[in-house]
Amino acid sequence: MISDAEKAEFNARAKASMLVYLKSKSWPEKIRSIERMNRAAKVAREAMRKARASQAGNL
Amino acid sequence: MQAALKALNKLVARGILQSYAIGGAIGASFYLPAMQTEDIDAFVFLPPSSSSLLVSLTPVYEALQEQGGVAEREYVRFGEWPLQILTDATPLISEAIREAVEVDFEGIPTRVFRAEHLCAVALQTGRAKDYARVGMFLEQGEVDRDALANLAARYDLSAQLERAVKAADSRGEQKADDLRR
Repeated sequence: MISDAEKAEFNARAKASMLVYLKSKSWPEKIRSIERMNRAAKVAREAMRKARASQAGNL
Repeated sequence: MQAALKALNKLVARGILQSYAIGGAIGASFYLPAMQTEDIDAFVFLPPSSSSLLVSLTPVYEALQEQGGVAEREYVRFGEWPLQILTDATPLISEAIREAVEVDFEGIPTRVFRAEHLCAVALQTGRAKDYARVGMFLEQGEVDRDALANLAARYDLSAQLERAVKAADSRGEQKADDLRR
């Protein structure tokens, strides 16, 4: 059985690794990244709105 | 982002992952305007195994690479989107994965943490940006306050929630004052 402590340690390592990646980006890259996020977030919010409406309809 | 979600779904279909749900900043973006750069946090249940975490995760990374991902350090990049595989390290995260919302993202079915779980995980993480995210959920009415209070009580996060609520409500009052002037 894998312990929660082992899993938490792995998560911390993965997050630290991601932070290194995000910090390595230049400002123009960061701006493009936020623009991509904004485009995806619009689609994501619409998808969630539909999922919630569908759940409400099923109640 | 679609490529990463498709890859995760294939891993579930092949039994390499038992289940997954998206949390973190991308999870929050299903409810709020984006505030941060993109990285996809996929919290996963690995199939039951008595072996080590390394042995359990190796097939996950291999399968993600077969799906077109590029392994870099401890994440896998799909185009411009880095995908982080994170484990169910706490009971709160396990509950968040189990109770995730099924969403159709441009034809790709995916699972996303409920708003209350996104907030509770952020309160547990406790960095300034996590509190800011919870504040956004509260200010924009995107989270059920009663359900969040219940969740916070169950996971010993009531003090953190109280702090976030006070900050959000005080910002709300400040905005109302500004509008009246």
